[in-house]
Amino acid sequence: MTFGNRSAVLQRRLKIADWIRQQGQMRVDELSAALAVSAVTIRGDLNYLEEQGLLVRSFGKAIAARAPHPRERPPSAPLAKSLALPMLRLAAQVIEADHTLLVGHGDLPVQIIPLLAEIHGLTLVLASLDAVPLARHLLDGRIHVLGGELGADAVSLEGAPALRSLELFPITHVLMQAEMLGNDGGLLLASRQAQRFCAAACRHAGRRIVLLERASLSLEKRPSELSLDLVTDVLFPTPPSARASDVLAGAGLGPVAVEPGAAAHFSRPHPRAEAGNGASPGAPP
Amino acid sequence: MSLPPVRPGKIVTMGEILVDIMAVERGTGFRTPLNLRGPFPGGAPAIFIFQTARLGHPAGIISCVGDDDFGWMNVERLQRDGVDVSAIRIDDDQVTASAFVRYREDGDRDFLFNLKRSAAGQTALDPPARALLADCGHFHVMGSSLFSFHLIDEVRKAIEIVKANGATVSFDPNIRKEMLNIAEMRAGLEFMLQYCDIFLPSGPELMMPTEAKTEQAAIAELLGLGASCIVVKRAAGGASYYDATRALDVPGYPVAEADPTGAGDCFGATFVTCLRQGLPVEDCMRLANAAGALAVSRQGGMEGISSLEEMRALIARAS
Repeated sequence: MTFGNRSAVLQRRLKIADWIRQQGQMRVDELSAALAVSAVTIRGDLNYLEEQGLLVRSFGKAIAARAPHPRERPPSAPLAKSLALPMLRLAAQVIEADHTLLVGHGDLPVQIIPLLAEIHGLTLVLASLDAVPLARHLLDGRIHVLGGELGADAVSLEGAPALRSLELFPITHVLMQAEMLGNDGGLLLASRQAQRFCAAACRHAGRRIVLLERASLSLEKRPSELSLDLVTDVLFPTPPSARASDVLAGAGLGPVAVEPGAAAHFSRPHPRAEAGNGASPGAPP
Repeated sequence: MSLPPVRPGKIVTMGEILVDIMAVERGTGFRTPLNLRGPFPGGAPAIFIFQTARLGHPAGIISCVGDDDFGWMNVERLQRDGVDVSAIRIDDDQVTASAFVRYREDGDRDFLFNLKRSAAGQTALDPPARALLADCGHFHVMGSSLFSFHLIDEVRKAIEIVKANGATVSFDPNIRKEMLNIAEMRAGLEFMLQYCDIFLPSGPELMMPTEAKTEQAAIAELLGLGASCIVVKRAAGGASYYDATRALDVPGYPVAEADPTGAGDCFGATFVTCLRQGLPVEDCMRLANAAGALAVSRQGGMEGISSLEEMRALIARAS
């Protein structure tokens, strides 16, 4: 049957793309044997797939392309350090002397610790065990650790006991992490646990600071969302779009002038941060 | 072979969301300054899913648009009519896809597309897309969406997921002559046929993927490949339905033609949706014909969609 001629090449290339995605890499001779075509044919296929961005060729092998492009970037892929650091520096500028900072869950908030060394009289409350050695080595102030159940990542302290132990401390600032900003003004968080934790923290702290993993807007709807109305500061690793700025403005958050660089900071007019000065959304001083 | 049992869930499509920008004066090509109207929300998959939602069926679309006015105009339009937009990714780097359209004197159209290197070219099965597919009872593919290897790869992955869940698949080649320059497209069109339960070609698109010399032979060949039914759209000439046991011709409804953009998409959406809702084939064909006729009588792609009441009213007037 002659049907299928035109797509034979396409089908072979789709198969190659699939195998390389699963195996990570394959050799030309392996592919040639598996597909019963010549090595010359396989090299032609690999040249094509390299042009289409699916793989990289190297010494008789084809290696699955590590997608630097956010097409299929898994949500857990961490933000590049070169983008995280400027954002964290802006966040550090929000932290004031003689106050109490709750460092929330995620790979980003803990990275602020080295930047806090020169803030006088700062007390830390830590929600992740991996923050403890950093804080102990780098900072002079008092360090508290929340109680709670150890999370699936083996470092986060979570659950009802963690939420209750939050209340024991005069927390003035909380630093949180969100994946992205939703188009409807909800910050997308990693889990329901994270949402309960952040919501509880927002009830206690005067300054509620969110670090975003990505500057893109999302149309995704999740149960684990934190409303922009509950936070006072949002930090972006790269400049947000005009549309994102509109979403922030709708919640009362405006741009803060910063030194030139990729990271951006949005804030609402805030009263001086005090303990227990909890989530009064957008109230001007 | 009868249509596989209906799996509950959304009708989902995947592919380009774009803006249509249309030349006012008839003529050939875009080499001189023209009066242009637009942007209008568009893209065959978007029009299809918009019509599906208007018929009251849960509907969703997997796509990617730029963080720009063209993208937001489309997203808001779809969202307002109840389409699940959670799987539309907003891309920071790329602009929303576009199609410039100009009618020739003889009614044919010239297009200038920006697809592959636009946000639409970055459509992929990210977690929100997979979440939408988990709830998919029927998946529709437009041939116009097969404009790059990456898109063909992603669509194929989506089909494998939905078929494993027992969903059905429909395919409309939706060929534009400009797209036949894309090497992958012809291969992609043929490749899709092995997956589809409902094949929806327009006129000569029926013969394209086969070696057959007559319509009868083409139908037999395609049904032999595994399609449950084939519906050939014949514009003003109506449409024909074929399955293993019968053939059914339904005449078109005469209307004053304003703009054929999206007529085939509205036809396909109406046929597939009504079939899923359990209507007899004859009804599905008449309603789909009415949908197509109403779409042709209106300017613009998205503007062409109509409600069930409007379709029934047209059918009543015609009889």
